[in-house]
Amino acid sequence: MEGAALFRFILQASVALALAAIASLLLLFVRRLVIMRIDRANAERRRELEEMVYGALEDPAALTSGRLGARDQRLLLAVVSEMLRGVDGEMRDQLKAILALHIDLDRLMGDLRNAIPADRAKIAFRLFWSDSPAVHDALRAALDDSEPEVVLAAANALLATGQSISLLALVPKLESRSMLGNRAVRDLFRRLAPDNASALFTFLDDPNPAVVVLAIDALARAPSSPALRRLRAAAQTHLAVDVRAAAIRSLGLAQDQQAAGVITAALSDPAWEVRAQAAIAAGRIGDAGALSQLKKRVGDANWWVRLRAAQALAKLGAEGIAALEALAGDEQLNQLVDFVLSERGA
Amino acid sequence: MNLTLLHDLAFDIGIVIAVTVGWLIFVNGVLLNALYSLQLVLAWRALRRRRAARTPLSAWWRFSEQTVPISLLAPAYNEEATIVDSVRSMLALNYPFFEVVVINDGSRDGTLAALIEGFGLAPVKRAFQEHLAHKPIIATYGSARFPRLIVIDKPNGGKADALNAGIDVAGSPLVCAMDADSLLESDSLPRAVQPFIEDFDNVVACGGSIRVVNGSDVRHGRVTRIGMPHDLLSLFQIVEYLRAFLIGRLAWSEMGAMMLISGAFGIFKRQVMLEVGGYTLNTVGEDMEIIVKIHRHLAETGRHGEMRFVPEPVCWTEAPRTLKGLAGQRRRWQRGSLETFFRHRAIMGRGEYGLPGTVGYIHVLITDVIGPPLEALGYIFMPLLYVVGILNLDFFMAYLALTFVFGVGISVGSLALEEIEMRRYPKPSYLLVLMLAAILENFGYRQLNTLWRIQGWWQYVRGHTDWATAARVGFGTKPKRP
Repeated sequence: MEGAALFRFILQASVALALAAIASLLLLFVRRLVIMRIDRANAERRRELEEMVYGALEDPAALTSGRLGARDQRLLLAVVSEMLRGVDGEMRDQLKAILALHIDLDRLMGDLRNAIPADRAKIAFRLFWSDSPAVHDALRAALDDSEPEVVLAAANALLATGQSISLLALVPKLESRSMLGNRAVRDLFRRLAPDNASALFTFLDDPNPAVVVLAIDALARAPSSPALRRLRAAAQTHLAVDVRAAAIRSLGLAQDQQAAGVITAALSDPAWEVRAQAAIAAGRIGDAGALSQLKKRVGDANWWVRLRAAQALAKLGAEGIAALEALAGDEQLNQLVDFVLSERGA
Repeated sequence: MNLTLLHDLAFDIGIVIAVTVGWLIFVNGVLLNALYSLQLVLAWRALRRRRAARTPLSAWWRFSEQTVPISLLAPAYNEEATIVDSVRSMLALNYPFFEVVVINDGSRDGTLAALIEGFGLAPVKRAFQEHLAHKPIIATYGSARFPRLIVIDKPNGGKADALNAGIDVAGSPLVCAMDADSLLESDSLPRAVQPFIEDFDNVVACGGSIRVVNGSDVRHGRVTRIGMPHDLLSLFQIVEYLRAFLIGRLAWSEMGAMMLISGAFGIFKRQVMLEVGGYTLNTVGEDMEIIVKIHRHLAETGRHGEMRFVPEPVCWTEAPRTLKGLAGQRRRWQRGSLETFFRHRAIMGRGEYGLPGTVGYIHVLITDVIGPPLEALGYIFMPLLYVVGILNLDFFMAYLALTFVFGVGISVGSLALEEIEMRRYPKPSYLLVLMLAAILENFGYRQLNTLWRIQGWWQYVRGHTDWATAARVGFGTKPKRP
């Protein structure tokens, strides 16, 4: 009896699974059809709106007033915001006038709060042109959005409108959303660096190594003597491997000749990430004093360090090349040396 | 009197044996379907949790700064007609540093001449050490115009032999084993190395998806339009490959018990390949064998190493379009699985070999070793037992559901995952076509597959002598195992 129940269960479960899978796929099929239809309709309407905008640019008198529907407003915003990124002067004013005429900013700001995340990010990204204090306030409020994409879009839009953003206030928001590893955040730090130099120095003492790394990277874009001094100190003494590696990398990028000793010392760092960055930096600043250390590092236990050290030697001129060619006889290293020399030749 | 007793006893024993075999077939079916269901759930979880770049451009933007140099190893045998286009498409891949090592495995046609003419090759010296067993390298060719390309000429020795030669010559820490006719998508490499970027110290190998190119347009070694084939055989194989990669491979990767990385597209740490002695020569299933060998080596040397599967990077391959070609392929795959299973049987069920030795090996046992004979037996035996009244209707219906209906759910489920997470097929109608194929394959095609696998078993038992012959068939026409 129990066996019969089990058999019936297996039969029913199999049929249920198959039917559920088929029903799911049919639903997905319908969803795809709907998405395609919407995309097609949007593309067509977008073309019409583009025509309207071009017509209005050629003949401003032809510009008629009147609010568009919600979908058309978003499409128009997409069309015009793309155009706005590449123009200035009179044409920029004309485009902004078109937006002012057809777009309900209150509705957009409402959408910036309530739409789905992907749409919120798009709206924030496309509001960079607005001079309205209300829009700026809405974008500032969007910096507290739960979605990282929206926060980034709002920050970039605010920057584009010429509004200042306090890195000190922004970083905790980024940190709480686990966004510090995002490359877009690194770019944001770089863009905010000129107005936030003192904040960047503060971040060098932050307990979170990811924040320190971002600050180091941003400081290296506009190197000053105090900044380089702090980077040298971080390269030597910071406990976090990522921070030491970032500091060494930044010193190399900044071509800081005074850091030659620090970089050579970092070639013996216990962490391979730091040794690899030190090898790259030694090549970048062309420090002949690092030659003997680089030769040692070509035999490093870590492949990356070996490669970077060999590449650095190849950048140190005739002496470095001679050192590399001497190493080519070593059967453990000949492949690496051949590769670096051929890469140099290429 | 005694005769009647004997007759009754024989009858009773016969009944007991029949019922036992019936249950064995049934339990095997339950186990198989339970495994597939588990894989479906694990694959879905893995797909939801993955952090893949959405577009080729974003993949490049995210990973290009951190990529590790790769040597692409492309063994070629008698591929004169396609080799130049194939190599051109490899050289056009998006990746900061890679080299293409083409190994001309003693082609009898003009493969080498086509390469020399197509790329302006000239003999060059290349310093390398012979770590691995392979036929001697006759010459190495390079080109000033294509510094990323190196061509090795050697006598014919089969794919494993050619790959070993390529590994010896490769100058990068990662090697990508592929076929000369593999069509990699342009962003495949930066996507495929993602596991190495995230955890270089622990990841030893990783594989990408293989998809069937039949029905799609290919121009100059690139898939220019994804389409659907018009023949059922190709459609069934599309469903099979989706199921095998999007569910099977992803689930095993999620569990940490990958037992196979396709020979058409697998990336390995060169150092690990050297440590295990490269590919085993004269083997049919060299792609599965190398994975088990690496698992074994890592466990025996007390090291940790992970093998991962990434669904986004795609390698397109042409699947057999004839029953004869498909039958040969499936028999060969079956022999390859059995060969690997028995060669490394010592690790089965032993905890010191971790999940590959326990869960992974037992999975191979159920699906590849005892699975085909029991399935074949079931097709004949179960209806017979039902007709003679040994099995009741409930048992028989449950068996039929396990054999024909459950598989529909799994296959269609894999298509749903494809649509939700990957959406690689451009037309919605393709979903319906594939769904139909996923239903139909359970009635005829699956049984044919079982028959071919039984034939593969038989060839293995008889010590079929075309191991080497199979390896020399030519990589251009040899389809890849899903």
